[in-house]
Amino acid sequence: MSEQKKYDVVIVGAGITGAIVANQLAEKGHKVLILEAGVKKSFNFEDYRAYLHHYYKNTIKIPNSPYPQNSNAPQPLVTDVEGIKDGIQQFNKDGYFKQFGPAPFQSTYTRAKGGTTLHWLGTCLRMLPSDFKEKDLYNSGKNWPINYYDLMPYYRMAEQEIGVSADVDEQGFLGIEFEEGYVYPMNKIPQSYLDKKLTEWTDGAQFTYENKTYNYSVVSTPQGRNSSPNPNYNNGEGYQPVGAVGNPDLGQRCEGNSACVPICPVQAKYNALKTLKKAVDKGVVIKEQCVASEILYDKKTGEVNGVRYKKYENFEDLTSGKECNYTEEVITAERYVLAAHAVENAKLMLASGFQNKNIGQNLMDHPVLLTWGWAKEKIGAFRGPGSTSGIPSLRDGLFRRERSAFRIEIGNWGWNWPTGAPTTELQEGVSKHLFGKKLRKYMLDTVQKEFRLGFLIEQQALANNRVSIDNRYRDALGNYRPIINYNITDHEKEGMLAAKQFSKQFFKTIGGEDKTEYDPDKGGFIEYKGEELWWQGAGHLAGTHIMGTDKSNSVVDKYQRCHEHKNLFLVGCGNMPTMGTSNPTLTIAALSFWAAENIDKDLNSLKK
Amino acid sequence: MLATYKKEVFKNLQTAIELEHSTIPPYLAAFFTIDQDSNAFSWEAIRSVVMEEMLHMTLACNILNAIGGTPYIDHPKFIPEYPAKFNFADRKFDVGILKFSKDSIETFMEIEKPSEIKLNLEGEEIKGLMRQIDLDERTIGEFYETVKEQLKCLVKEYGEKEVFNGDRRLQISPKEYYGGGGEIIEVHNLETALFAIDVIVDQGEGAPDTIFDGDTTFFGQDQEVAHFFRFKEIHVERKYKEGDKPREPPTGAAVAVDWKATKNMIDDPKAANFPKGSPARIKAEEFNQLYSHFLRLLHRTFNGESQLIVKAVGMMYQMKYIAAELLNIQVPDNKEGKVAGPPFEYIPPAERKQYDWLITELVEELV
Amino acid sequence: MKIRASERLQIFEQLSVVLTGFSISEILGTGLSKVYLETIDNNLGKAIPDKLFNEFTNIPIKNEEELTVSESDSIEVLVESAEYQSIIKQIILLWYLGQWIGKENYIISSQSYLEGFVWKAIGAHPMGGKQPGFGTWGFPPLTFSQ
Repeated sequence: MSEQKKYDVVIVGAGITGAIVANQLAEKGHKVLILEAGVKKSFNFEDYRAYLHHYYKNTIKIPNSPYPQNSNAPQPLVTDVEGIKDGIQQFNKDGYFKQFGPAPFQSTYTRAKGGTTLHWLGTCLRMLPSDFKEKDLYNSGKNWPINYYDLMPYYRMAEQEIGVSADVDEQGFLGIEFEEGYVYPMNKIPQSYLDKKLTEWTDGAQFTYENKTYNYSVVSTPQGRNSSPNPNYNNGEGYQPVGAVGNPDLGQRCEGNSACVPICPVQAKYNALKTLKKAVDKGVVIKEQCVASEILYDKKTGEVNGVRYKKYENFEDLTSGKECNYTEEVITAERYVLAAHAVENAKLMLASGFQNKNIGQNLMDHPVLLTWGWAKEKIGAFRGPGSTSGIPSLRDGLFRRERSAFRIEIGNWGWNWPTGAPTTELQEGVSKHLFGKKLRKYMLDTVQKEFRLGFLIEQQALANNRVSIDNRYRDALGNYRPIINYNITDHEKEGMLAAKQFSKQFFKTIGGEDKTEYDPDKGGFIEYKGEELWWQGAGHLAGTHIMGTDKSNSVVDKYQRCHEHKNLFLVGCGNMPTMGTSNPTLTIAALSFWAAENIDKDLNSLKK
Repeated sequence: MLATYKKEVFKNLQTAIELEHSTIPPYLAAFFTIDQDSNAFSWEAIRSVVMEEMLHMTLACNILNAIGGTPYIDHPKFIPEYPAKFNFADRKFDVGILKFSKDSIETFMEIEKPSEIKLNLEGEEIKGLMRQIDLDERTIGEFYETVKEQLKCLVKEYGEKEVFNGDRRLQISPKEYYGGGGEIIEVHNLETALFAIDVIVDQGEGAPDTIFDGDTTFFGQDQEVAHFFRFKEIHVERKYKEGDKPREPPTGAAVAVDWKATKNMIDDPKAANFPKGSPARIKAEEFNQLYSHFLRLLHRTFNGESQLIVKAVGMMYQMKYIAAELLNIQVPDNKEGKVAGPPFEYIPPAERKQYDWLITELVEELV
Repeated sequence: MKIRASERLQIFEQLSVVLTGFSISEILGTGLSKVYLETIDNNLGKAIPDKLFNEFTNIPIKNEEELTVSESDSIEVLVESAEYQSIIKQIILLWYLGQWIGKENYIISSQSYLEGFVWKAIGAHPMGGKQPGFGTWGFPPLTFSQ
């Protein structure tokens, strides 16, 4: 290529994957530019505090509540999924997604600098080795073109970048292996009082289902939030926790703000601003308020030769529906990376006329079956990070041939997720005409015993669950709104059924009271084999441009490069052919390190 | 005899602990009267200084424990009576529990001012545990220099093993400290003891002839100006920048300081000065109770139960929230409309109450 | 009895003690009573609250923080009355959530959210604020005696 380009790499999206790729490539001396669709934000801590105040003042405290809706780069909201009316799932017609069901897609993401890590929970579980070859082992789901051991060194890099707290001795279950002598950067996050009690009450417990018996136990969860550093990390070099961007003394430990989702007030929980700041300090340029609208490419060779984007200026009045002023520009580079999120990546490729039929297909999430109840004594709900432990035992087994595996997440915030506690209890108390000390006592007695379980049900990648576009559905800038077709299969419903049975036995085992009661009018409610079930989204949107061996079965190869566009790399959850039962952020962070390495090699061969 | 010589060093290190502690209530009071959004720069600057004073106190305890001494924290004379009289060789000034203002920042600068200033704290002017903080007309830097010399002499005479014979389990480890510059140093020999002292002196006064503290050199942390200069930045509403000289005003970027956006706290609040049964009195007593419980926990933390530090830190958060409530409560019959504030007064163990909301001292809870 | 403007705030504060179950020092400690009274007036006008305040002052109460059975019964009549149950509910929710719930539904300020009594009532802290410190979630829950 004779034409001199200003940048070696253009990345679309300033979330965790874009940030990692940018930072790694800048480290290697490449010139990198990131296009970010979200509203311009500095790295000053004051700008972050503005999110916090927005959260405080928002009456509906959903995951995107701190991050203002922006009609130039709209984001889906969990409230866009409405109730079920006459057996049919309803949706907010003004919501960002255009959903055609039949099942509701209930997960969301954040279109702002830092991406969805601004509101992630911080769970950093590695995938199980079996998750990478699920098709071979269980005739279910798909195989990856790489395996756990290929990814191991990159998991380590991801755990360093995010700053993961865990005790390695507790994490080697279900085939997960670590390099000899490996320790996590920080000691495990202290487990909640609830965790400790559940550990005690489930000692030696078993789950019996379909004539089989499974042992299980409560295990602390690796988390991307700051704890006390492990002096043995990195062969005795230790680790320095990374505090808030713009205020590094803050957030060096999790302080128990109990608001990881939607916002950690001190940034003790990792968010991608931390990596972005490092990247910018190395010379990476972030162009904000630039929404990529088309990937330009040579129709014959497939080679990408530019990204068209819309740069908007006015963002004061974002929900007004007013027409937005924008200018269109094209940016060029040697290599391109789409890191805009699974849905946005797919949408962008479809909008650009990419021909690979797999684009947009295989949309996955973790449907989360929620159950809730009372412990037999007060355990002090609403304290600490959202979840500090889980039950991993049922994440793997031969049963995966018949039904989905699940991971059980133990929730520290009472019934906040399933019922809207403690506001709901308060409303109940007040409508019973309770006042004064009786009201206080009522609140204390009901809420302090509360906890919930979340069963993250593995979902298979299927062609019919997909993101597509249609000329009729566009946003204020004229970009496509994602169209979602989504359903869950009997395989997954069988998993939910097992989960529900587990929950029933669990509450008996711990001597608690199962208070789970599903509202048939709420989105996500189903009845299956006589059992009422209700699930929510996990925010784990994946699989819209999966990796595989060739273009017939996938969009990218194992190097994360598009089969049909050799200078275009994709990163993020869209590349995952299976998600197993792990929250995907750690895995896509690891894959981003792997992708960055491949892009670096590729660029170097070019420069020779 | 080693025991007799050691006693002198014990006394000096106890003085150091008290000296480091004595600045914390005044700094905290100023900190509590501003908020994180309208005075972001000052809020963060004072917060970080307070964190580092706590680090210094911990370091002094680690040194004292390393040589077999006993830190006294939960003691009626441990908290000075505010306004405390600081008596320097060339001038005297009071250090009170005051709201954030130009005046209080000036006082803080007096406390932290490097070199030249001779400390001459005599008699009962600071009512610490030993009734006096007698630095014999030395600067704080010189005082710590003396402690260093004493330790060196003892080691030379009796050997390191004999001098540093404290129980190593009493040391507070680096993993317990966060939120400020520097690091906790576990002290077990002369080298670590001297290092700990250098950290204390450099964070306060600045490394020799610079505005910066030693954190960059010692711990590879981001560059940070020493306490005196951090207060100076607030005072003149401008940051220092690389190359600025200690004796010259800062020439970096301007910073916003909203001197009016403070809680109008009464000077040196005392629980007994508020009418019995009044909300101000009730909350002031709660605060004092909490502060005294806190000192008890610290005392135990530094005397063999280091795991209790998690609880002590939890109590510090509680202090902040009770102080915030006090600062919303009008002082009865105060013509200027002043509000109450945290008194930092000692309550003897026999008079301590347990509250529903108070973190308890129970150790078994930590298992 | 006509309530004097100078007494109005104090009566509101006393009523708030009775309705919320929090002491006067907790009420004043929020620094929000004045703002909350304004919020009520702005949304409902002064007539309804004044009527309620009048009814309230007609009930002789020795100590708002420790109601006797008969005092509590008299308050209960107000709380359950068709006329006042709505405003009383709004006052309680205002203190507990920092939120006005009426024709309009809004959180008064960041501070009002953070001072919501609901969090103290359940022995916790507001989600996203007044954090209790590293590791404190591993301690047993606080035991409230009342």
